[in-house]
Amino acid sequence: MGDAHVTGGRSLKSKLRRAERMEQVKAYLLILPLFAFLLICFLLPIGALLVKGFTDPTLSDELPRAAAMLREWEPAGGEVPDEEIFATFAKDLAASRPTDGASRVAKRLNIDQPGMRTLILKTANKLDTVEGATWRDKLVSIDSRWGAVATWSTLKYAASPWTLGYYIKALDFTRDERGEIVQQPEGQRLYRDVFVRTAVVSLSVSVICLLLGYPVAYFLAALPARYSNLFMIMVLLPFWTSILVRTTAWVVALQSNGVINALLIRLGVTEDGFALIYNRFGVLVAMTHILLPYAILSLYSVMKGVPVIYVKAARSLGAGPIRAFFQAYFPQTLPGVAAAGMLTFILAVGYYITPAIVGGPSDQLASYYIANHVNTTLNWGLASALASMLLVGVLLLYAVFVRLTGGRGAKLG
Amino acid sequence: MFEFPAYVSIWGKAGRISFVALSLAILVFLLLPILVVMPLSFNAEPYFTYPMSGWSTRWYEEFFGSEEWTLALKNTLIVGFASTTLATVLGVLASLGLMNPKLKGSVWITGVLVSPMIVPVIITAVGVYFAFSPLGLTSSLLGLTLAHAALGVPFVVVTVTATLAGFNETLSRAGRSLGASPMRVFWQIKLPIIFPGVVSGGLFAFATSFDEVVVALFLTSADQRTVPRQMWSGIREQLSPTILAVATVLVALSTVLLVTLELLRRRTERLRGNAS
Repeated sequence: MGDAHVTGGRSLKSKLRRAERMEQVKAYLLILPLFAFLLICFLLPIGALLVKGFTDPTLSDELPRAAAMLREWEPAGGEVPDEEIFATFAKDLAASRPTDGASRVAKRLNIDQPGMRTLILKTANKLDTVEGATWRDKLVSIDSRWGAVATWSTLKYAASPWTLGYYIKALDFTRDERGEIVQQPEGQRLYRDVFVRTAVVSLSVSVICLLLGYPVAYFLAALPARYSNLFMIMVLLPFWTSILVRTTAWVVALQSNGVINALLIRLGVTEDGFALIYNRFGVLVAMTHILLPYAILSLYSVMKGVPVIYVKAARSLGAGPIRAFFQAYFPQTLPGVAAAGMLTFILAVGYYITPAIVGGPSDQLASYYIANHVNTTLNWGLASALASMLLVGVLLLYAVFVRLTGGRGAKLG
Repeated sequence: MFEFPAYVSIWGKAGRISFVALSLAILVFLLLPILVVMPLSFNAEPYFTYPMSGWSTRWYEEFFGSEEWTLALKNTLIVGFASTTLATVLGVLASLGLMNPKLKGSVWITGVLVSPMIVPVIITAVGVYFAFSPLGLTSSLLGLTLAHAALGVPFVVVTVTATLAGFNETLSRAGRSLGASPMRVFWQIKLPIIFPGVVSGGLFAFATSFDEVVVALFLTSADQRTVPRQMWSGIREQLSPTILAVATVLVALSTVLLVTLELLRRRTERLRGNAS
């Protein structure tokens, strides 16, 4: 009987374990479809984007043998490559012409060194007719630039299918003709300013959101529910209104012959109106307006959990209202303040639409340059490098945000 | 709001009143742009200032009468409903799995599933554009639907898992012990109870798609234009009063959305209040 009890117990245990394992498998199977969907439509595209910032396949695809030889060549010696490389390059270039590869090479190299497009296309055209004893003589007689080390080092640094070039450019560095990585000359630096500007604008917006949002959240949290529901609508309605609609509204309100300027002129404050839009002021106003509901809602949810009893205690012990607030109430809301600030900052960093509509040329944030390189300059590698840097920044901030909110992470209003 | 105990000094009262005034001013700032735009959309003249010379609905007629705008509206609704359905079905299934206490690594899985909410939308847009162009999914409503569904999924997952957290599992066990199959328990017990959460999640997803312009800019061409995309090009080229009419319609829609969500939230709270 004792034996039967043991075997029965064991089989019950293993049955339970099997049932639990089945439950676990079922849970994974339920998650699987969504996971697969996100993998294909979101995670893999973003992963590919991260990789794209490091790949540069044009030369190694179109001029395979010359690219392989150039990878071995060292420009630091200060001498142009030997005749073998000249000859291989000429043959590869000739071979790439039927598939239009030469013009892809020309386009690609022109990004690194303006003028390379015409040089490559001219060379490709004249390859068959040019006279000379060696390929070196032939190429130099087509264009004297083929006799310069700088031209060949431009080719060398595009020859590998993998590159750090886009990141070098995205951080405002460049390669000099000997291949050393050096800072861009002062006047040509751009992206560091862009990232600094993105950070400054986002920081300003989140500070303004906190300054304006804190009193409102406190006001709403202290009101009895029957009043606060009414005022809450004033926060929730803009929160739910399309960002485009709100940005449009600010264009109408702020433009030079817009509602606010018309009012100010009528009141005699100004004669020709102020420049309120297409500058930093317009960007700050519109972005603050869009992000303020996030700050208010996130502060409100924290303040709802802060007991007022300590303030009353402080008051009864003789502290003035201001001292009671700053010593008994404010410190308890600090985690909420930090979380709300991070949330608005993270959202602001990725903004594209609003600065593009209400900002001037010097108010565009990182997103604008990413979109611009995809659509206008077609430098997809640089766009990917910039996007990756922005993504890494946002993910790091988000990790801090999750810490601050105690693992709850993103929350809805 | 202004009932003061006897010990509050005149300065205390002044401070309180100015604090309330400041809060109200900030709340008005939040509503102001919407309130400014709505009347202007009824302006008889194509100007953007007050006082208005007369009232008219001509901009609304232009909106509903124009082929471009009606096509945009049709596309937006198609993409909105399709992506919401996809996001809701996948999101509810995944949430059911996520709430299983036996699941290992649920923190990480949730992190991945809500990541489309955190990644800046321009990065999603560019990534999806690069990935979809070789597949022929750019300039197609299908591509836009898939991308919008990915953006809407986190809202469904967050809302539905929050609702499921308040679901009383003994109800399922009661159903099972009375002989119902797991499927029947889901359809007859679980789903009706969590339904408000599912609808809220779906509404969030729909609002996301309905308002989304950045991905639409990359994935659509003239034939697949959506309302936000059409508005975007309208604002950038020539701001016309028609856009204000569209904006007003959208504000009306978001009001409906807000009211629906609020009613759903109250229903859930009431049910929970009764249960405990």
